[in-house]
Amino acid sequence: MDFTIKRGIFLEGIQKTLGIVERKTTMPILNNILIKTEKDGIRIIATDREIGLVADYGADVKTLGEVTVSARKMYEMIREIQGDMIHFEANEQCRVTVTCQKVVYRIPGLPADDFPHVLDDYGDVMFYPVSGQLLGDLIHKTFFAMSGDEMRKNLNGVFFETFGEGSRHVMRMVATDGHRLALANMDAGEGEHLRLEKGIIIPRKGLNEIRKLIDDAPGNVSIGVRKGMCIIRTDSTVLRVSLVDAEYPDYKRVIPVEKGSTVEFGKDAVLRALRRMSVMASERYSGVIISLAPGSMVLESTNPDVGEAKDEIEVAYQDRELTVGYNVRYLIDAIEVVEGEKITFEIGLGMRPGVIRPVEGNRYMCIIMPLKIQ
Amino acid sequence: MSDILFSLHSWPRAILHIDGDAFFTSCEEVIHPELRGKPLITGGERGIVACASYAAKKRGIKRGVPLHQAKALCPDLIVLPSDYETYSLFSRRMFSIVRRFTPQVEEYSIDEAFADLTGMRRSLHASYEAISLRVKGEIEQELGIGVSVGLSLTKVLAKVASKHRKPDGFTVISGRAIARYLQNLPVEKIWGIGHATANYLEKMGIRTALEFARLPEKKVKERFTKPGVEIWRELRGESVYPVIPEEKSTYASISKMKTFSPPTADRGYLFAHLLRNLESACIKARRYTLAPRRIIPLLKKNSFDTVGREAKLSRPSVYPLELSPLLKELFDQLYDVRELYRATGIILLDLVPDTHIQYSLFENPVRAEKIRHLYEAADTLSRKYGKHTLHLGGSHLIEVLGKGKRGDPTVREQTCLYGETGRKHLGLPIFHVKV
Repeated sequence: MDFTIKRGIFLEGIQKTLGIVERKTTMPILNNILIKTEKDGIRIIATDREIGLVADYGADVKTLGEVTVSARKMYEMIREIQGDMIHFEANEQCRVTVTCQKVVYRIPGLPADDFPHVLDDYGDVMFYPVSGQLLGDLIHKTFFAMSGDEMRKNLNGVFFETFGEGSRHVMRMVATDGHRLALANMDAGEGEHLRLEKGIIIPRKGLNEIRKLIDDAPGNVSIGVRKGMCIIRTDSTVLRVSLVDAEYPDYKRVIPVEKGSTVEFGKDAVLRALRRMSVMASERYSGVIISLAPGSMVLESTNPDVGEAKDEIEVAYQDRELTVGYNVRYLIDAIEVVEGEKITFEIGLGMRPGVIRPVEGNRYMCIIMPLKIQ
Repeated sequence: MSDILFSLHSWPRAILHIDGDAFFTSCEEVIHPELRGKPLITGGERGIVACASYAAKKRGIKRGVPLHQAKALCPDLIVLPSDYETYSLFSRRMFSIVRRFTPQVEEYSIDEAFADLTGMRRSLHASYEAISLRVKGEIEQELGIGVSVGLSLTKVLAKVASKHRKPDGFTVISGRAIARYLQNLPVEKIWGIGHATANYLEKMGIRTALEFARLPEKKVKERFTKPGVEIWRELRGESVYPVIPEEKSTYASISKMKTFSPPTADRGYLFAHLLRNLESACIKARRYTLAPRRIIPLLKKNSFDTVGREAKLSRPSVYPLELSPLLKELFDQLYDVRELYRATGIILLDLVPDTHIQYSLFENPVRAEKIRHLYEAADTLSRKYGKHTLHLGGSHLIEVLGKGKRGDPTVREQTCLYGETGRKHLGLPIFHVKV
């Protein structure tokens, strides 16, 4: 095989695969990317067997063929080359020669036949258009609440479901680590849409790749779901993500029915105050004690290993005086992703969870379990 | 080689190490004077030799040997069950005697203590050697147990000294005499040097403590990690490890392991033992307001193979009622019907202060709070009526079937009044003399 490609395009194409190719693997070929020539361009394929990425790029192709090479080495080589056009050649023995001006690189590749199949055939999958920006927004608002505990597979991802609301169609993402739960809704409009009544769980690594894909391709993307996998397509790229095969907990059960004592505050003011408290936080002690009185909110943080912090901010609060503890990190995470300046915080009484949401709209909420501080 | 000097000053620091001689059996000999000088061992309830008296040691009985082997070596061997309450009472008395001479006493183990005597010469009007002899003399006279004492410049050297002559030893290693004591001491006998380090040193051609201490500083720093360098400095008479007088207040982990005898294959009884260990470990953790993030149950087979399984908790908890379903699950994975087991154990790991409790959204915090209150009440009951007064049904079987002790109960247990527990009996002097 033999082709010539612009350096910038090639570099970006390989860079996108670096998050997917595995570093520690028992199958050396998974360190590689598959490069395939088509009539008027090349196709770069990367996979770790859970996630697969297929991307097409324009190139000047002389002879057809396919070969696999180390993604990391390829990336480093192209990064250090300074010329504009790169010439790529592979012989029968899978020896790859990359030349540009006077630079010559030669590295051994592996035969393409050994590379796992990434996309067999997805002709029967129905694809639906979705706004990339809104999809990215859903991920952004829930990603932080995912569990990092690898023992709890079902919480190691974001739950994605759709439901109808009147004639409108709503897409929803939910993430929880057991202590807090973030939920984001998106109005997908009317008409034919992706239907996920039972919901799917998209794993963390897959979400990272989806985010990257959306960032690069503003506008609509196509999304399709087939048994055990979710496929996202842009004009030149197809991303396949294996879903987490597990039962998601019944998240609706934890959404508080009763409204607790409601306090309203400005996003920036409260974030700054919380960050001041988090200076005292450590892995062992990360609590903040919130004392509410009409009109004011006092924040206190005590860590025997570090020191103490106290702050007071003005808030809109009319209910009776109360004191409650929360993990300061959870509050910051939940408030940071809120759109809009005004936020309400419904504080549950008697060790019931609290709810953070924007004053306007019902597109986001984060439910947080209080911290019992004795 | 004795011309090598590590320290020109005789006593830049004076550290004393006191080590009980065959401590458990010595205590038994005190409360049973008629047994004095006879081959005696403790550990009967575990089925192995926990401690052998010097008379028994002379007959070739070593620590850790199974009872039947020990009996074969010495048919007239006297086997006693361990009476830890009595031993800890002696231990406390021993430490308080040492504290008469200096407040800086570190309780290193039940029968070992370090004491820093530096600067006490003037107030006690005596040399360090004389003070050490007085400590030794008072312990022996008042408690009737033998101790070996070592006096030197550092903790590591003090330990070398107390081991130098045992039993009833008194060894002083002054700064000028360090080399003389190290020249014939194998490296693996040094406190803090284990198998791996000893093997590594052997590769470098170093077999004695003196050879190690004589290595140039540069080489030591290049080839050893921090503890290795510290031991090297201590051996040269430079005190690195301080004598820490405080009682332990935090733990990285808490473990409880209990051997019972005879070994059992009974599922329910074995689980009861495991659960009781969990209850004991949790009591200790609650005393220090700590809670584990991870727990490991262990089962020791009769072949001494130990199997265990680690589990991460969804949140730290010190309440057996909350942990028992998980423990049962882990136990079921470990338990093999065809095996005989001799001990069970629990390790609580990753202990964090139990002051901030982050409940989960998917649990019922009201129930969790109830459990917490229940254990507060249980701890109050325990203070009044003894440990494990209120315990889980799962561990009740050992109250019914016994704790698996072999042989006679200890004197302490025999002399308990009705309704009294061993722990409450503690403060009473019990000198048991047969008439």
